[in-house]
Amino acid sequence: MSVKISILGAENARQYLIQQHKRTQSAIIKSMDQVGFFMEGEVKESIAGHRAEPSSVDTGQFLQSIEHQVSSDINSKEMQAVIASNVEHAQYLEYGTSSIAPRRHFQNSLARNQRKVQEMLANNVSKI
Amino acid sequence: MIRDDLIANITDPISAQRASDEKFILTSYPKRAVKYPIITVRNMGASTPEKLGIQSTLHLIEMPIEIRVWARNEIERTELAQNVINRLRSVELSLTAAGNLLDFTVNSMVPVDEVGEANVKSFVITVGYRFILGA
Repeated sequence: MSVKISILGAENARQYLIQQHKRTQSAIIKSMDQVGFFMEGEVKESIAGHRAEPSSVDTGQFLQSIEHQVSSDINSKEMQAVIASNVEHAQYLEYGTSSIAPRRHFQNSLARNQRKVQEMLANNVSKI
Repeated sequence: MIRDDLIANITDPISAQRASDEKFILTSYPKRAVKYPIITVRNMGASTPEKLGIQSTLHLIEMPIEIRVWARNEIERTELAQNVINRLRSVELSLTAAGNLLDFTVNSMVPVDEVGEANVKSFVITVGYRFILGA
């Protein structure tokens, strides 16, 4: 006596999962970009003095230098959105020195919006 | 508690030259002239509280603490930073027992090098603890 087992639609299921994977990756990249834009805006608002921190605008160089970049390797275990400035004195304004108090534009912006960013990411991924 | 532990266990490289009213470990950034090296320990507040259950009155909060090592040169800065982290790492369990500070982590270490006359080299070390509020 023998028993035969057939799985129907396995190939269709496999193709569906591949498509879902691509949709999920695309949603994650879009979501990270959205978060990057949002946080970039928040840091700029902080630098402009529209948040709790004092304004750090003089020539506007620091404010204009804030940019965000999303890591493009979707297959890596971590995706990152990095908000940064390439201005040399950014670190002195952020962390302070022996003669000036820290402004913490980046750290405070992150602390204020951490929950909101998590919700944004969760909402976008849940819509897939 | 953390500041007191560091005061008792981190050696001041210039203790012989420091006046009696000058401190090696402070709880805020110095507002007047100080003799370097110094260490500042600042509580950065609490963030992302989570309730530990729907019917629980306990909250788990994250407590980041900024420990900044201010030194005269890079070697001194690195040595002091290592001493601080080694000390906190080694007393993790006793701080848990004494102060309910859990899950010690070193979140970041950022070097900030000043230029010019001041020329102070500092490491901004952010460590994190978790604390159960209501326990």
